[in-house]
Order: sequence, then structure tokens, then C-alpha cells
Amino acid sequence: MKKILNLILLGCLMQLQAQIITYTPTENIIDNNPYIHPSKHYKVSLLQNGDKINDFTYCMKAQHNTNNSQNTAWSNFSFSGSVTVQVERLQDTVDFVQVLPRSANIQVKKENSNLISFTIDKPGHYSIEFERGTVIDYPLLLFANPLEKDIPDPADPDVVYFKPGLHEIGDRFEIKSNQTVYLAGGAYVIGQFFAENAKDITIKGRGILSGEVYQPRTHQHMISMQNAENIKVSGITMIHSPRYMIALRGKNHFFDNVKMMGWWFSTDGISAGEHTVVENCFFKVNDDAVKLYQSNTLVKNCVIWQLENGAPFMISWNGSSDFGGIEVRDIEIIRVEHHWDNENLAVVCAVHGGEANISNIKFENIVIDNSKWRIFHLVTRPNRWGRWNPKSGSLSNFEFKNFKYYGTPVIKNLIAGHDAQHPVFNMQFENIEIAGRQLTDLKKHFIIDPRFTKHITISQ
Amino acid sequence: MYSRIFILCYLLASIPNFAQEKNVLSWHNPIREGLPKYGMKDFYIMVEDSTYFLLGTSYKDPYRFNNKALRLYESNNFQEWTVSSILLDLERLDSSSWYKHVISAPEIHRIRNRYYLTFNGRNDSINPYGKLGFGIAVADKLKGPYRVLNTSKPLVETNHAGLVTDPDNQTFLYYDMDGRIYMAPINLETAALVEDPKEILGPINLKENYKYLDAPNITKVGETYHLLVSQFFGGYRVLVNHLTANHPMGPWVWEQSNPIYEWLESEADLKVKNRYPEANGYAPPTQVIFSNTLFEGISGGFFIAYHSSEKYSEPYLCIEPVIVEEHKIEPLNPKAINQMIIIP
Repeated sequence: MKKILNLILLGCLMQLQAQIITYTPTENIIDNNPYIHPSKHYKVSLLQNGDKINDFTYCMKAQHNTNNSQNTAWSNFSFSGSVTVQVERLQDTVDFVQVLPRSANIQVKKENSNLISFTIDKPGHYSIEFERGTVIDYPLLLFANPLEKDIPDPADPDVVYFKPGLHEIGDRFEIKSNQTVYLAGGAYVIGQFFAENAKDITIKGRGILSGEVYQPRTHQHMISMQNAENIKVSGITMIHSPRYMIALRGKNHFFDNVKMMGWWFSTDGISAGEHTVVENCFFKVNDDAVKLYQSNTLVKNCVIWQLENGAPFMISWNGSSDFGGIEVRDIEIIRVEHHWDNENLAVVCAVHGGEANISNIKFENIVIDNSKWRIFHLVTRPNRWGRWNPKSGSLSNFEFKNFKYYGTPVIKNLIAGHDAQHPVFNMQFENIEIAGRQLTDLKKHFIIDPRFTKHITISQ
Repeated sequence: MYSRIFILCYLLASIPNFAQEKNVLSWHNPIREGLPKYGMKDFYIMVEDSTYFLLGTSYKDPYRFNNKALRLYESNNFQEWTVSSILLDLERLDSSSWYKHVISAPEIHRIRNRYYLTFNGRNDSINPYGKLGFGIAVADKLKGPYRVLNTSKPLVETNHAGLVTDPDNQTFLYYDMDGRIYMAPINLETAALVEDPKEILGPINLKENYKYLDAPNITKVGETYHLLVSQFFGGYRVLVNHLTANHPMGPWVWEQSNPIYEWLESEADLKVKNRYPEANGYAPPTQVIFSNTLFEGISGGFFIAYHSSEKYSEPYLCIEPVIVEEHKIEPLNPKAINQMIIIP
């Protein structure tokens, strides 16, 4: 009897804790908006405790003529407990469906010819796919956020509060030290944030920050800070950036649950200073997702959809001061649209043309899905961004452990030093699985320059 | 003096009635007729027997796999080109040949009544993604047949190389590598460098003007050597600069009127011209290079040949008339589609 009572009590507590919060779209998100509009392909509903809520499905149009998808749709909500997600395909029937990342192990139920459902019980960034292949026309993403904590008080003088609705803030909205910028769910902020010689800044919320009015490379990064210390960005969604989503100089930077989606070459994801943590973030960008340019950077638990250009992890184009001590782990790269034999197209990439000696970088537990291109491109080579020093510049002591690659690569990985003064050495590969097979011989999938590389090893 | 006459002719040509009555040469940039459909860059143009001859780096047709040859093209009017001869047939080369797969930025130099074909080559099986190397071939006639003089290995690692001869008839090899420009005297009979290459342009002597240097081209006009060189700046800004010297070894003077051209991303052609085996098949390079060649026309006057932007679309031939003075090169109708000159 006591057990039964406990179970009933537990059930009641779970129901009390279970909650879904959705956000009302702003009035600018209409059918003829060239940047963002309601999805015409998908309708998303959320079911919890017998209640059904329609969650608005945004859609942003592709902007560049080399973009492979037609658009990207997404739904954004916060929740606790367990939620069942229903997706109705509005213009086609369901012949195939999968929900990525694989590690979430989502079991999808086909309800009828155009309706599917699945249940999630933890926050995450999911891709619901009705098409097969490395390139799909109509992506649908689900941003299932945790419930917000510590929502700031709009009356607090150190809080810049963007309430639900449309806000146009211009391309240089300055944030001061000790300020918290809050984008409430349902806030749609067009503009860019900037800070200089500042510290202890937080940007958070569930709102959207858009750079839609800026043509590529005509404006600065969406969040740009110089000499900035103790900066935290969390929870928001960033779209249509004309350059990087986030570019911070300084140290002690923290990013959590930031969702970034852009279309242009030069729409990179995050570049930050020393002692940075990037976790639980989502990237669907068309240039490098994460720049590993500074010492003591940790990237973990992120989901990446790499468009046709850029690398999920770029180590260097022009590193000029020695750096290292970088760790990347538990990453799901759900799609890599690479198909050009360009130097910057690999999951882990360095085209190191600067004088820095870059060492001690560790990658562990990396899943690569829906890819046909190379994983590794690690070379020293002068390039037109770097200031080449004929006597200095190297890559060394990198560790790559537990990689799983789903797909059939059609191009080999490349490891090459430019000359004797710019070697690549001590690269350890361990437990690399490609298309279901353990890699035992690097020659099968790698081009390794014999002259200016050494100690490139593979183990089980 | 000549340049002033040229300007006058050019201005007169722009007057419709005058142009109709005189012998006008007109063309439209970019020029594609008769040239490789999938694009071409690094153009080199020379005159022989009142005919223009052209060669360059060809983009491969993805649907024609057995068509690897270096071709010489000819024209009398800039607008239409035809294949004049096959200079090198890569299909016939042994698989171990060091230039089996890549022939880049070829040029032909007429020196002491012989023709020297220069190129930057690579074998992608033996040296994949590696540096290119300098090759040189010789022939008694412009159209060949050419005999490669260094069949066993490249003379030196080069990216984009050419030849220039000094007032004492010593020929020099010049090339860019790793963003700097080097030069060395070369013995054409033995196809060997007489001395080790020396850096003639780099961060030390260019100082604040230094930026990664690409695609050098040296042309002698009168007693002056004119060097054109391209520089790429992040965010896509490309400058084409002009330096002069009295001797190939320098010193080279950075001209005050630089740049000759400034190219921005907003000017790039966004329209891919060809069909590819897969969608978005044209690969836009991350780093954009503009390659410029100065040459003298059949009836005098000077021109610059360059390729249109390769950033988002296939590159094709562009030709513009220029005024060449001792320390200045000035395009007469820069970046215009419609070009014309009066033939004196």
C-alpha cells in the first residue's frame, strides 16, 4: 500500500514539474517576409499531460546561390518533464523519417500518412528529417530548451530587457560592464550587440537576434566584443548573420544553448578568447562553426549541421601566437554538406599559415553523420590571411579518439607539412570508425605527406 | 608620345560616327568564344605574325575526362579564338611524369629566335595537393613541337613563373612562392639555374605595402621593366599593383598610382555558367587571385589581359586597353563590358 502511495505521489510530482512554455511569434513573421516566415511545410504540436499545444514553426529562407537547402524551419520551446512532439508534414506524405542526433536514440512513430510523433524527456537540439542524404531541401529543427532560471527583473537598472515583440536596435548596440541583456521568448531583435573594455556581461533568454537587414560582410559580427572578460551568452537563437555570429576578444567566455543559423560565406559560429567553454550549442552555419584559436578552450555537447562551406572546427588560418590546451568532446555533427575540394572543407581543419606552434588539442567522442567528405585536413601552408614566417609554424600533439563516421567518404583526409620548418607531427588517431569499419591502416583514407610529417599513428 | 596618340584614338573611337568610318576593333568582356567552356585563368597573350596567341590555365570539363592537353589559341580580333595547336598532351605522358596532371599559368617567350614554353606542373598521384614546380620546353616554331627540357623533375618549386631578359641578354626565371617573388638567372641551353633564386619582393623591401603576392608578370616596355602583381585581402578585396625597375633584379619601385585595379566581392559575377555533375558543382575558391598580363597589340598600343572573378563563377578572359608610361599603367575603360580601340 505504501509503495502504491509513493508511486501516486511520484506521479503527481512529475505532473507538477512537467511544463511547456512556447513563444508567440512577432508580427513581422508573415508569409511575404523574405527572411523569416511561418513554415509552409511543417506544423509542430507538443503534447504533455493530455494537453496539446501548437508550437509556432519558423522558417528562414536560404540566402546564397550555393546554399543547398531551400530554407530551414524550426520550433522553439522550453520544457520540463517529458513531451511528445507531433510533426505534420503539410505538403507531402511521410515516406521516410529520422530524428538526429543519433545519440538521442529517438524512436519515431508514424501516426498516419503525414503525421509522426516522438517523445523526448531532456532538452536538446534535434533535426527531424523526412528526406535522405547529405543534402535535403526542407530541414526542420526542434530547439527543446530547459526551463529558464533567474529571469531578470525588467526594472533592474543593470538589465536591458527586450520584451516579446519586434525591436530594431541598429548595428552597434553597446552593452556596458555588469549589464544583463535579456531577450524574452517572443522577442525578435534586429541588430547587433557590441562591447569594448567590458566585463561581467550576460546575454540570455529565449528570443531571436537577427542580422537579416545586413548584406554579407558589410557589417560586423552579431555579437562583437573587444577586450571583454567574463562574458556569458545563453539560450537565444541567432539568425541571418552577415559575419560571425559571435566574435569575442578577451578571456573567460561561456556559451550555453545558443542556436545559430546563417547562410553566407563568412557566417562563422563562435570565435572567443582564452578560457572559453562552448556547450549545448547548435550550429547551422556556412563557415567555420567553432574557431579553436585560443588556449584552454573546451567545446562539448554541441550539435552541428555544417553547410557547404567552412569547417565545424577550424584550428588555424593565421595563428600568430603559440596556443593549445584545447578539448572538444561529445559532439554530434549531424550533417556535412561539403562537396568541393577546397582547403577549408573538413570536419577538423587547419590551413595553418601563421607562425604559431599549435599543440595539445584533443578530440573525443565525435559522431559525423550524413557526410561524404573528409574528416581531417591538417596542413601547414601559407595563405593570404596569414603572415607567413619562413622559419616558424607547426601543428603537433593532436589526439583524435572515438570518431564514428556514417557515410562513404569520396575524398581522402590530408595531413601535410609545408616544409621542414613547418612540420606536422605527433598526430594520434584512436578508434576511428568509418562506414562501420575500424580504421586500421591510415593509408586507406589518408594522404600523409612523407617529408614534413612524422609520428602519425592509428590504434584500436 | 605614343600613349597620347593612343588616348586620342581611343577617345575618337568612342564617337559613334567616327568609329563607324574608321577601322575599329571592338570586343565584349568577358570573352568566351572558342576558349574552354568551363573557364580559364592566368592568361598570357603574345603577338606573332600579326596574330594574337593565347594560353592559360584551363578548367577541366567534368564530362570530358580524357581531354588533358595544353592548347595554344589564336585570334585576330580578341573576341573569337580558335585552337592553334596542342603544346603538351598530358595523356601521352608516363604516369610518373612530374607534370602529369597539372599545367598551370603557362607562357611562351621568344628568346633569340627560339620559343620557350614555361609552366607550373604537378603529378597529383605522387604529389597530391603539393607545391607546383617549374617546367620549361623549347621549340623552333611557336606552335611547336615542344620538347620539355626538364623531364625528370621541376627546376624549382614555383607557383606562377615566367621569363624575362635583361639588357645584356641574360634571361631570368621569376616566380612567386609562399607570397614572395623570387628571381634567378637561367641558362636556357641547359635548362639550369645559374644561381640560387633570390627574393626580390617580400616583406623586407615592400614594408607596409607587403601583402601576400600572387601571379607576377613582367613586361619590358622601352627601357623599363613593368611588374604586375595581385594581392588578396580578407573579406574579398583584391588589389592589382604596379612596380617598375631598370633591371629584372631590381630595385623595384612601388608606383604611386597603385593600385591599377581594385576588385571587391560586390563586383563578382554570381552566376555559374555551366552544368555540373551535381548541384552547385562549381567550387568557389577561398582565396581569390587576379592574374594580369601586360602585352603589346598587333598595331601597337598596350593591353592588360586578366580573368574575371573566380569567386562565385567560372573565370573568363577580359582584355582592356591601357596607357603605359614610364611609371604608370592606366586602364582606359576599366571593368567595362564593351571595349574598343581604333587601329592606327
